[in-house]
This record gives sequence, structure tokens and C-alpha cells, in this order.
Amino acid sequence: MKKIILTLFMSLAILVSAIAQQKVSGYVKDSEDVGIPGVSILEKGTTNGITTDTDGKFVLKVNSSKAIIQFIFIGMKTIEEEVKNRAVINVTMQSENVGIDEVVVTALGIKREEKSLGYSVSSIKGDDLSKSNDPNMMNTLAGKVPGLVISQGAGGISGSSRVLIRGNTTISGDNQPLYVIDGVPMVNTNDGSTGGGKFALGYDMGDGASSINSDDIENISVLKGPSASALYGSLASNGVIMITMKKGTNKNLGIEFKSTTSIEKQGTNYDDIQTTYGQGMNGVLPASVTESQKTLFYNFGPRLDPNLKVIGWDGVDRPFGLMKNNIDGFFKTGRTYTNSIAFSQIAGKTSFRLSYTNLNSKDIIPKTGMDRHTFNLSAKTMIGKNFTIDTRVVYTKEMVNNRPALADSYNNIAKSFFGLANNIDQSFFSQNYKTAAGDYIEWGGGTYNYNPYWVINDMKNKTNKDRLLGVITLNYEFSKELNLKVTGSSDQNYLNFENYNPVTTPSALLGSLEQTSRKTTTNQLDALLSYEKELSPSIKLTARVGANYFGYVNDGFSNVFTKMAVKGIVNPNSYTEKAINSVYSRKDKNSFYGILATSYKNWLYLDATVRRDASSTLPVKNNTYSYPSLSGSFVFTDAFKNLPKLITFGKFRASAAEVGSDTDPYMLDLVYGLYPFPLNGQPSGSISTTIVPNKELKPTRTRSFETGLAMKFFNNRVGFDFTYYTSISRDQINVVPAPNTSGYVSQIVNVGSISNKGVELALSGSPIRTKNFNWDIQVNFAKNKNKVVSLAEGLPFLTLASARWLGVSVVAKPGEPYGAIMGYNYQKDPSGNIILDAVSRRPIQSTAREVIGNGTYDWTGGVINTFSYKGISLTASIDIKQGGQLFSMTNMYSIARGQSTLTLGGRDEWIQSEKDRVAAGQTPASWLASGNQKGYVPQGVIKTTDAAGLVTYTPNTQGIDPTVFWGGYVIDGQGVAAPFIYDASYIKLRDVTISYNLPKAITKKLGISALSVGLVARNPLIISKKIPNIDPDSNYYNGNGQGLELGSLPSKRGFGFNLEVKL
Amino acid sequence: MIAFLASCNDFADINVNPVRPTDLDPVNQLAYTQMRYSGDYVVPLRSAIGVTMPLLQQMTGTFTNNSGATYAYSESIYSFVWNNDFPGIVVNMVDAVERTTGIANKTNLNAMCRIMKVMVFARLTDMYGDIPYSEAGKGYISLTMRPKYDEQKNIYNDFFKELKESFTQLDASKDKVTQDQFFAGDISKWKKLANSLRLRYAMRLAKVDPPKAKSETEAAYADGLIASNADICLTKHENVQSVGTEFRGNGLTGGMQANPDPSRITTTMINLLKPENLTDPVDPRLNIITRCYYPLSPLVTGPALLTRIDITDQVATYYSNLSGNNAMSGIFGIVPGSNTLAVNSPLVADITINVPGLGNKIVAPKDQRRQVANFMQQFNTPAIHVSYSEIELLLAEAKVRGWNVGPDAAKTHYQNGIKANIEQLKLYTGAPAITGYDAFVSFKNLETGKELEQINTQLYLTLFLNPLEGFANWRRSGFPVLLPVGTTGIPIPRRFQYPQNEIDQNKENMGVAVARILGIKGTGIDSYLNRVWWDKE
Repeated sequence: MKKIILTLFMSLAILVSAIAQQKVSGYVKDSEDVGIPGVSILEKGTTNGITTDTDGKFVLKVNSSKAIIQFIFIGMKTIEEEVKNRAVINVTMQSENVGIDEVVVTALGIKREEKSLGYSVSSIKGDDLSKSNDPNMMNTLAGKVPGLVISQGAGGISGSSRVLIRGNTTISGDNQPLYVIDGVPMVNTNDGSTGGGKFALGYDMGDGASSINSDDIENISVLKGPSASALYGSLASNGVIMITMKKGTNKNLGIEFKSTTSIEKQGTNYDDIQTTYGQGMNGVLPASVTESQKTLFYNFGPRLDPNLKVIGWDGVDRPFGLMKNNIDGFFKTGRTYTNSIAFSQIAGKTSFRLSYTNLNSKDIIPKTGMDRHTFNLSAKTMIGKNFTIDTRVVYTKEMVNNRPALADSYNNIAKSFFGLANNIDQSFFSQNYKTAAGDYIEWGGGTYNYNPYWVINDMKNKTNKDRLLGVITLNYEFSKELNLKVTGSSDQNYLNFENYNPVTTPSALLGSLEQTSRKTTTNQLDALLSYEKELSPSIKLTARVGANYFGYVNDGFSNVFTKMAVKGIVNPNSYTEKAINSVYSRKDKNSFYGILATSYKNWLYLDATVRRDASSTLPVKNNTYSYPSLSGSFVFTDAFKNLPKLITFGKFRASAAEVGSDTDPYMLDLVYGLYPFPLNGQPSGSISTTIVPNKELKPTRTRSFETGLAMKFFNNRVGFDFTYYTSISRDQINVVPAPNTSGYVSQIVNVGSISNKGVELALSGSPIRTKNFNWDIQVNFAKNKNKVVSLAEGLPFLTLASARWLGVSVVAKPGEPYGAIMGYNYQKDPSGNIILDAVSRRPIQSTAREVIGNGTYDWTGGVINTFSYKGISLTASIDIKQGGQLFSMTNMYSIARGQSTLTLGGRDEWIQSEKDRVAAGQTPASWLASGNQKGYVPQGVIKTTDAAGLVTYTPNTQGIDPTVFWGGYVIDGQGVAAPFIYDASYIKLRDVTISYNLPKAITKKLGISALSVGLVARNPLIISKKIPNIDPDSNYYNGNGQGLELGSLPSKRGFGFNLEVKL
Repeated sequence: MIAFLASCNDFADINVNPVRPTDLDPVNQLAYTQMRYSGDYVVPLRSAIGVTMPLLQQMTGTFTNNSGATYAYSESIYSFVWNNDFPGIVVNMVDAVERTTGIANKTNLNAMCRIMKVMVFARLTDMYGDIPYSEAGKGYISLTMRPKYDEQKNIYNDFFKELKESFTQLDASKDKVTQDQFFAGDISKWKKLANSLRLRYAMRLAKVDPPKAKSETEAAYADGLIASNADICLTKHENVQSVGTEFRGNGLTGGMQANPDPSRITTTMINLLKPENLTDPVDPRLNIITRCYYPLSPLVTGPALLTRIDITDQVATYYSNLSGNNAMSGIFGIVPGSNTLAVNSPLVADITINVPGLGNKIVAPKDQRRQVANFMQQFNTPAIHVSYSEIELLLAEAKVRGWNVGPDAAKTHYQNGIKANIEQLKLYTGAPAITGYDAFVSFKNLETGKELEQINTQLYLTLFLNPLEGFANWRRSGFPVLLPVGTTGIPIPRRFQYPQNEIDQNKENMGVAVARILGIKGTGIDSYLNRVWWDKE
């Protein structure tokens, strides 16, 4: 609408009224005191107008002193000034997204006044993201938007973040929102993750969103809930992140230069390490090389004593003293440099912006780093009076060297090191870890835990991502009322990943090279016809109809080369065995949609939408499905004029929507595949799916309802926005487990229902507003209550992820919230004491697995404080997540290997008891029988049943070997897991930025238009956490099964310096 | 405006996977199953090295052996064979049989697939007892997601029917099956395999249903059995490290190599190989199968492990010098039940000997204990599924039982079986020269009243590297007599418990089967200490 008006006025602007009676001149500037050229100056209700010159100055003759002058400029809020008797009128224009009448970008890129919307939309300015400069821009949003939960995970450099809007809405879908860039939906392909299986391993290779350059972002809108996103259809059933990129804004050639340098430090430390006892088991020092190797990761030895010598895994004797921070020393100081330059200009009817950004980062893990280049060109031009062409090309190249391996990977550095005896420093292993010929030398970690120095120095992995996004939008205005917009886009992503295991690597003895190459292409064509009509002065109507084609192709290879014959040349040609595996999938979707938006007197708004999708992934008979939405907004402060003065603004909104979803390609038929290698020269093959296909699939339906109230008081000094929502999905297309005896591991079916209910609250206030000093505060809170309503018949629960140890799984279980953590609990007596085994004195596990936690947070929130004093502003944002749990296998190992302070009890007693026993010449059995054995006395009771069946519980008094007690915790598939379920709640200071804008007076002297400098701290402080050794945000899996942690690398904190210059 | 939208009916073509066929000649599935049956490394790693070999007191001494050594039940270790076989090979054999049934030019392939299917299911039912059989693997074919459990008795009856029909159906004039890994399509060998399997499964019923065992044994014999080492059914594996979905290498030996300090042969097995009297001829297998090694690096895995130095003769000589030239000196096993090599039982001390190429070295007790010979644990060690030796020994037992299996005496079959087992060592790459065993073979006599024990002790040795079959034969025969060595008070486990996956996903059907379970833990208890149907006390 605004565009139409603007075009209209621009064409009118050349006309200067001849009947002007009063001359008005003036200066139009922006908030940074820079004159704005090209602003339309119009006498309201007439065709009399002009535009400002290159300096932002204008002269206009008006008809009377009662005339009202309108100042109109795209991207700025329109200003109206009554002339009265003034000869000079100077105005300062504000950017459009400031204030109450905020314009937000909604579905299909349609800009709407926020007050007209019947659903909740949150907006974040791009500048806020780029200041913090996180390589993954989504991390910057953590804690800033109510109901948007960002989990950074343990993915490492350029890894993905899990983004959830209003909870999990599907049982086995990815539950991730849709990203829309300048109106074009982006398929956020996950480039690779550990998977959620029991033996989860591999790399987090990031996703589409993790590579978006924050410097190019103008604004982000978060559309929550299906009402907001109904127009995007199934892709958007989990909400939409709308990203608007920067465009050309200055008339003169504008050059912007930005640079950020930051250092990264280890953010979490191994902070629960006992410093009393060293290497060994059962209180005994290792006596041979073999024993030393076998006890490298056991801290159950005698008391540390630097005067004592202990034999090393390599046969070298070393002092048996404490090595402080024996693992932390491995990590270095990381460095990240981001430099960007942007050119922009408006010349006549054409504008462009070209930017280049380089992000170069060296991780805290040695030899790990990334380099990202982003080129972004946008151009817009108007041909004739009615035809606009808008284009954008983005090219991104991202290279990552040596991503860290996660979870149960043999080359996971953190997993290799955990439990390392505290008299041994990790740096010892950097020496002589390979032979002169370059062969791996065993260090004590065996097949499953490689020497980290081999991992960083000899193994290599490389990721290369290229992304090319091209968008063309053609807009034609037939008349003031009728407009056609056609958008075509192509988004091409190339991924190349190479993982190299040199010859003699324990699990790839003959050497191997894995190469994954993949090209994912999304082509879209969208046509939208809009008709806008003022039916009466108070009733406005907008009708839109559109059609959309969406085509997605994933094409590539995943090859494995083994038996390296030419050592040192890392290339497929060096290998004698080549397994070539081609991967391809394609999905097409055609859609029609319509929107009807009406408004009454600018205080009552009603929108209705309908969309009809046809998806190639569903059976032909079920592949077409339609769904509607309805939403309304009532601005009661505009409707009722006699409200108390203190209420500045008030709006009530409500919406209801349904969205249908399809599935992945090729889920309807059984497929076979050849085995990659012949055996004895003969080929073989097998059924190549573990999912039973289904020819009867129907689309999933998600229904939602949302209502909200937004109010502002005291002239906008205080405000709140409250939302209540519910959603329920039914007929979910789910991949559910099947008994393996069916011949398959799972099946795809339409079953299950999941519900979400929640509230969101955003508070904003400006406690202090003075001429020079302002304090603004924003607080947000979101609570989502999720329940798995039903699953397939006969299916007790669905496993979302499985832990390597203790039979722990994250499940969707009817009646429980999604993501319940299941495992064995303690067995307890009626008074709640832990029951111990009568022989081993170790806790007995419950008879069946129970729900012992949940990996999803109960509530999340954030606090953002902004202080500004003259040109200086300080922003600090706090991210709060409460009530989720984490099954920490790092801490389980820390305990089982005697590293944790928890394991200190009874050590001296046991050592003395053993000395006494040897002195007395007794066997362990006779010593125990004689009642002389001392040691750690586990708390709990022993259950005895007498002949009459009477059960008694006696408190345990028997001391046992601490090594046996604590070491007994690591069991495959069973064992008490309850002690390792940690509260993952945290409060983190996410970022603190201080920026200073040089006063205009100084910048003018320097010959530049603006200069700002800033300091930034990223994740500087974990204000509160309840889990030792690791960051609570350490899920290794970025899929649905949240709540498992194994071998997490430390999180990072960053401190940086920003410089921004505008010429 | 809508010209760019494809018609919705075109979508059916778009949704056809262009890189994965919806049809594949079932012969590929036969070849795949023949490879994976013994090439899926985690199955033997967990089921055999983890459970049955230490249970049978053949090898132990590492953490990998823990479950079988100490009788500690571990769901994940006991469940591998089930969880990998059903979706890995059962489904392919069920599908291949379905797709070749009634196809005129695939009658031989169909028969082979039916025989292979019996082998696949037999391994599962023998470990677990009642299992889904008639409805198993049909999640796609008939949308049977939760298959019922069949009684083992009925499963066995169907095995006999399937094997008999397949034998009859096989016809050299019909389709050629060249991709066959076992016999390269040799119909006569497949016929012998069908009958030999029938004999094996018939003998399984010797206690629980003697008349059936007798009639099936006699029928199998009459149809023609494996008659020489040239008829052995085996998968020829390649020299590729067994890991993940790499099935070309031998899974069992790959599993042995995965441990940097592998399991040791137990005293139980060593004693069975040793002669009763010092003057008796020595079983040549004692020093061929079991050797002592001096490790070059204390912790190295894979083929590099096999570069360790053979010190068998040096250790033997050291002790023989001490004890006056006793040929049986210096042959140590490890006490069964150990899950660590640190256990010094039987007690030996460090000795210093001249290690070839290295000079005088101290050899720790653990390295004086016998291990599986290098040449038998390579990735390309063939996996022998049904051997001539096994068939001869089973015939010896049938003869002892007085069944009609031809004119040869039980002793003849017994000696043939022992001789065939010694000679089959030649199938392994790098096997040492094996000569002069005739004296030993002809010395092996059957003693009246001890025949079954003697015969089944030889089966125990013959089936050493076919450990799941060895475990089944030990349970059905009761020989050799093994005393429990695990956790005090727990008898030797006799079956595998149903996996968690079935408890979670197929509880109702499983419950019906559990109610039928008998044994020491009581009726209706799914315990690894209870017994399968044919394992009658």
C-alpha cells in the first residue's frame, strides 16, 4: 500500500502548484542528523508537492497557513506538520520500525502495521545481531523473543543451533521453523549431525541458517504459531523466522565499513576435579606399563605425593603430583575477525547495495577454524511509472577445517580425555604419539578413544559450503488498486565434506577417506495479485490471490574410500577400494492461496486466509489439501476515545488456524540397493530401507488458537504484550518404531497427537528518560506446556534419542510431555531410602525404566537492559532457561573414574584397610567376613526377608572399595541413571555491548558521516547453573531428542572490539 | 498464471526414487545374506565373543567376554543377534522367498533362499526359543507389524518341511544361480547342505522328541549328506576390517582382532585337547589352534596385532626343561570365568626367555597363556557354517543311538569327523603344514558308555569357530560337562532373553511365548537361565 502511495506521490511531485500562497522551506534529516534526499513533500489533500534535494532541503508553496505538509519517504514514518505561520519547518524522520505503529514484515513479505495483526509477531533489528557477532546469528536471538527457544548445543564451530517456536508440535518431524529471506522460503537443510541413536557420533555440520551473515540483516520477524504462517503452508507449521536483508538507502554513494575482532576463551571448565588422590585403582599405584595404560583414566589411586614416582603409559617414570587443570590446558585462545564493507546508493529510480563480509575464526580447539565470505548484492529499479524490478544475489562460501567430533565418536577429544588421572597432564600425549614412520602409537585409550593429538594433527576433516541465492521480484501496478507481484528464486547449496583417517587409525587401520558432496536446490515461483479498495471512508478491503510452485532437489554422493595404498596423498586416487553411493531426492509442491483483509476505522481488523497445497510426497489420492486461518485485531484505544489518559495504546487480538503438512519424498514404496562392494567378485543387495513404506499416508493437520492483549501506558513508557495459545496436531505423519521382528526398525504412519499450551509475556519499560540518559528494559517470559496425547496403537512410547550408557532414552510417551528422559531409578524403601544390594552394597535399579527427567525447559525468558548516555549505549542481555534436565555422561564418567569430588569419601579408610589386611595375611573374602573391611560406606538400606516373609530394611554400615562402588556406575543398557540426571537450568549473560557514536561535529571534521566504536562480550558469564564441568547447553544432538550429553567440549566466551565507519 | 504449476498426477512420477530401485533380482539378497550371516561383526562380537565362547569356557579374559564369563546379563549384548538379524537378513530372506515363489525360472534360487532362510531362523530360535517365524519380516509384505511368536516345535517342523521340499525342488537342469557365495550355484552341494541341515536340526531333538529326531535323521541320511571337506558350506570372507556395515570380512575373527589384548583359551578347552596320558598321541590341534604370543606393542588392534611374535615353543621349552621333557609342559590356559587377563590362574610367574628377534625378554603370565593362532583370526578367515566334520560326528551319535544311517560303525564316523576337522584347518590362509595326524586319529576310540560324551566333545572342538552352533550342540547334548564358573550360585545360562525392543514394541505376542518358557527360574519367566523347548533336562 505504502509503495503505491509513494509511487503515486513521486509522480505527482514534479508538479508544483501554481496557486501557492505561502512559501515554506526546511530541512529533512534522519536521526543521525544527516539530510535525506528524495523525500516527498506534499500538501495534504492536494496534488501539490516536491522532493528534497541532495542535502535534504526543500522549498514548497502552500495554499494556506492551515495546510498540512506530509513528509513521505520509504522506510521512514510519515510525518504531518501543520504550516500555521511558519516559514521554516525542519523535521527529523524516524525509521519505520520505531514506535507503536510499528510496521512488521508478515508472510509473503507483506508489510503490515503491527496493530492490524491478529497474531503475535516479534521483531529484532539486524544491528542488534551484528554487534554481538556470533558466527551463528541465530544464537544472538537467545533470550530475546518470548517463545523462541535457541539451544546452542555442543556442535562446535559453525554448528547448528536448535530453534524451537512454541514447543514441539510434531512427534517425529523436525519441529524447526521455516526461514524466509526477503520473502523467499529457505529450506533449512541440516547438513549433518550426530543422530540420536545409541551410538550417536559424527559432526554437527551446521544448517542453512547457521551461515547467514548477520551484517546483511536489516530486520528479523518471528512469526509464531500457524495463524501467522498459514500462508506458507506446511513448511511453516513450526513458525517462521522472516529475515529482511539490507537494501540501498543513501542517495550519495554510501560506504560502510565494519570490523570486529574478538578473542574466545574457554567458557566452562572442568571445575569438579578432586585433587587428593591420583592415578590407580583400588587405592593402588600402577606398577607396570600395562597397568599404567589401563589406569590412565582412573583417579582411584593413593594420595598424591610429588615425591613419589609413578610409571607412565610409555614406561617413563614421572612424579605422582597434582597437575592442575590437566585437561583445560589443551584449549587455546580462539580468535575471530569479521570485516565487512558495503556500498549503497540511490540514483534516480534505481538503488543498490553491495556488501562483502569475511568472517575468519580460529577455534579454542587447536587446528580448528572457519573462514566465511559473503557477497550480497541487491538492486531495485523502476521502469516507467508502474513497473518495479527488485533483485538480490547472495553468495556465501564457508570453509571449516577440523570440526570437532561429537558424542560417542572415537575421535571426540573431550571423550578421549575425560577422567584423565589428575597427576597426568594432557600435554604429555603430544609427544611420541606416533612412530617415525607416522604410525599411530597406542596411548591407553584403545580403539574407541583416540589420542587427541592424533585427532588434531593427523586426522583431517574439511567442510566446504557454497551457497548461491538469486531472487527476482517483478511488481506491476495496473492501477492504484490492482497490483501484481511475481517472484522467482533459486537457492543452491553445495556441500562438500571430507573426513580423513590416516592409515593405522585404530578403527580404520587401512586408512579411509569419506567424501560427501551434495547439491540442494530450491526453486520457487510465486505470483500474487493484490486488490485494495476503500469501500467507504471507514471500511478498507484488501484481497489477494496467489499461486506458488516449490521444487526441492537434493542430489549428491556419499562415498567411502578405504585401503589407502598411497600414503600421504589424501585423495580418492590413493585408495584401492571405492564405495560410491549416490543420493537423490526431489519434492515438488504447488499451491494456491487467498487472503482477504478488512479494516474498520483503523481500529478493527479482520483477516481470513485459505491455502491449498498439492505435494508430490503424498499418495496421489491424498496429495491435495486445504486449510484456512482467521484472525482479528481490535485496537480499543482508538475505538473508545474516553479511556483514561494513562493508557496510550491497547489492542486485543485473536486468531485460529489450521495448517496441513506433507512428508519426505519416497515414503510410499519399498526400495532396494546394491551393497557397495562385491564379495569374491559377486554383487549383492538388500532392501535398503528400515522404514516400512505406506501408500495410505494423509497430510498432518495442526490446529491452533491464539489470543493476546498488548497495552502501553504513560506515553509508551511502560508496555506489555501477553499471549495465550493452544495448538494440537492430529493425523501426524510419524516414523514410529516397529518391533525388529517385523523386519523393519520403524514404519511411517498417520498416528499420534501432540498438544501445546502456553503463555508468552513481553514487558517493556523506560524507567529513565532524560535528555542525555535513557534506560530501557525489556523482559520476556514464555512457558509452554506440552503433552503427547496419543501415539500409534500398541506403541508405549517412541524413542527420540538413546544414550550410550545406562539404557537412558529420550521419548515421546502418551500422557507425558514430549522429550521425557527415561531410565532406571533407584529402588527405595517405604521411607524413601535407597535400597542397596546385600552383597555389592551398590544401589539396586528399579524394575523398569521410569521417567526421570525431561530435556525440554519448563519456561524460558530474557532480560535486555539498554542504557544510553549521549552517544554511548550499553546493552546487556540475559538468557534464562529453567526446569529442563540433562543426562550427563561426562559427569557420570567423572564420577565412575574417581575424578569428581563426590568420590572422595572412604578412600583413606579403604587404603588403610587394605594395608591392614595384607599385614594380617588375609584374603579379601576372609577380611570382609571378619568385619574388618573399611572403606566408603554407601548410604542406604539393606533389604532382608525372613522365613516368615517379613521384610526389614537395615541401614548399611559396611564400607567397601570406593573404586568398585563408583566404578560400577557405567553399565551398558542398564544401571541406575537417576544420579546423573542434572538440572540443566541456567541464567546466562548472553551478550554485553558498549557502543559509542562519535558526535557529528567530530565526524564532519574527519570527513566521514558516522563512526562508532564498541566493545562486545559474548557469553561472558554463566550467572547460574547447576551442573558441574560442562555448559548446561551441551546437547550433542540437534534433533528432537534433547537431554543427552556425552563428551562435550567446553563452551566459549568471547570478547571483542567493534569499529563501524560510514563514509 | 498457473501454467508453471505441474499437474498433481505428475507427482506420482516425481515421487519415485531414481537412485533406489523398487525391484532387485532376489539373488542379490541371497548373496547379501550369505555374506552378512557371518560378516556382521557386532553379532559375533557380542553374541559369541561376549557370551557363548566364555560360557562354553573356550575363550575368556577380557572385558569383552564379561557377560559370558561372569554370567552377568546385559540386554544390549544379548540382543545384538536379534536386533541385527531380523531387520538385516531375516527380512531379505522372507522377501526373496516371497518374490521367487511360483516363478518358473527361479526355482533353484527359491530353494536356496528357503534353505538360507532356515539357517537364519534356526540361529535365532536356537538362542531365544519361541520367536516370530511365520509372520516375521512381513512388515511390508502383509503389513504385519507385530508378528506372533511361533512355538519352537512348530518352527522346527517347518524347517524339516522346508529343507525336504527345497532338496526336492533343486534341479541342475533349471536356473543357474551364479551369485551364490556358498557353492557358486552347484546344485548337488546345495542338496547335500539341505539334508545336512536337516540332520543337524534332527539331532537337536534327540532328547525332546526322539522318534522325530530318528525319522528325520534317517531321511536326511537317505537323501545324501555332505560327504567330504569339499562339500563344506562356508562364506569366503575377504581381507577387510570388519566394522560398521562392512560385512566382507569375517565378523567373528574381526571381533577377536578388535581387542588389543585378545581373549585367551581357557584351561577347560586346553584340557580337552591334551591327551589323557602323556604317552598318548597328542591332538595336533592343540598346538595349531592355540599359541603363545609376545606382543610388540601392548595395545594394538587389527592386522598389526597379528605381527606379534610367536613364543609357543620357547615357553614350552622353558617349562619342559624345568619338568624333565614333558611334552605337555608350559601349555597354559586361563581359568574360565575371568574377565581380565590380570587373573593369574593357573598360577605362573614371569619368565625370561629368548624372544625371536628381540633377545631375552621377561614374559608376563598373561602372555604365557594360549591364544587363538594368528592364522585363524584373520579378516579373511572363512566362516564355516556346516562342516563335513560336524556331519560325521552327528552320524557317529546317530549310529550310537542305533538309528539307520548306513553301514559304517560309529567309530568310523567319529574318526572321520576328527580327521575332517584337522584337515579343514587347511582352508585357512597361512595354515601351518598339518601332517602326521593319522596316528592320533586312529588312536581315538569310542569307549562304551562314554560315546556321547566323546562325540560331543569333538563337536565342541569342531564347532569352535562356529560358536552359536557350538552353544546349541552343547546344550542339547550336555557334553562336555562344564561346571559353572561365573557369579556364585548362578548356573550356566542356557538361552538369550528377549530384547528390550520386543518388550517395548511387541509385548503382547511376546507374553504368549514367555508363558511357555521352562527352566530353573520357573515357568513363564523370560530368563537367560531358563531353557528353550528342545533343551530338555
